[in-house]
Amino acid sequence: MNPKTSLVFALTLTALLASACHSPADSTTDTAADPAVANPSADPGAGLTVSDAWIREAPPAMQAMGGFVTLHNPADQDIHCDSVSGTAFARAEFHRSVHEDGMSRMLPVEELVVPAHGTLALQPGGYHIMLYGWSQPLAAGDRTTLTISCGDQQVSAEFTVRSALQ
Amino acid sequence: MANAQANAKRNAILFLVGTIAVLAGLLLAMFTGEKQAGAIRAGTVLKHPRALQPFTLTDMNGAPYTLESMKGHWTLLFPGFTFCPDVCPTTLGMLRQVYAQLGDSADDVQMLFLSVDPQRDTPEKMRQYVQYFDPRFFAATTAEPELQRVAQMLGVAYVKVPGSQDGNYTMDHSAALVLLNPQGQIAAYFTPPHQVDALVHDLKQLTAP
Repeated sequence: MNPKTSLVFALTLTALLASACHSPADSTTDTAADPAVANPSADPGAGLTVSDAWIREAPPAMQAMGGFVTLHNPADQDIHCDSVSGTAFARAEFHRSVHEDGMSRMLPVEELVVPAHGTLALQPGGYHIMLYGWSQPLAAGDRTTLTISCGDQQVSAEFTVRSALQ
Repeated sequence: MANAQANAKRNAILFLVGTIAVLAGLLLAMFTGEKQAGAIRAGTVLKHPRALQPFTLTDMNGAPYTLESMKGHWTLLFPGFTFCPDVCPTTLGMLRQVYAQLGDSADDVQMLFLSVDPQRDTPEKMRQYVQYFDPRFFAATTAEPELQRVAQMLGVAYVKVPGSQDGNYTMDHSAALVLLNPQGQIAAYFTPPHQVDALVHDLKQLTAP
């Protein structure tokens, strides 16, 4: 018996068991099974829609805010989103928080993939929009528009600022 | 054909060995966990609390924070940095709920935010940041190389990662919370995903007089 193979197998099984015990923060789901879809009657030719768009209020001294949104793709093809911007911010980027090897990491994300007939949820602890350089302080209750670019289509949505004390 | 059969047999043996290894590990973890810490839900309790060497940090009021500062009460230490837009506010928001539910027990446990980004996190910034979440929260850090030495003693790892633009950077850091006992020794670690109920339960149990 090859001990290396055996070890790899045991580790794989452990990882599978461990992942079965976790509830991942970011998820892609089947639209048909998701009651939170913004526009369930969208026809197959329709474009990307969004729901639950919000920005977490920045505590004092913080120089970056997190934006969160759920993207819905009613089309037959995956939609690839590669940039995001807002007039209230100097810069906005897609990022992903991950926990691996006991470490919290924030990884830059080149593009988000919203699966055909599915959703992609950006939420705390997973995919998020990192917002820098706001022109005016934003407090809970304020609203600001962000535009997400996905190839030849763009979707703009009003994001509501929510308190970080939740 | 014989080869395929041999492979299938080998795979079956590997599956069995792997499964036994994993189950043995899980049973051992459950058994030793129970023996050491009663019914702890989220934490890993050290069988022998680990002592720290003396150190000096600077707290959020600009005053020295030393090993002596940790004595006489429990300390729940969370490593992070104020520039962090997602994980740190999520964790501090979670800890705010933990403290709200701890009730009187919260008086015996000081939440210490250890900034791993002394280059950007001044005492004033740290104070404004943590007190937004709970006025009882405390913070400290120190310049390198002392920070690295203190973090290493605590079992906290961190590394600076260049960002998308020049001069911009982010920090990867340990996700675990560290619980220190009133002697200033490491008593337990809590690893994510953090659950408010489990943490409240464990902290109450571990810090009970």
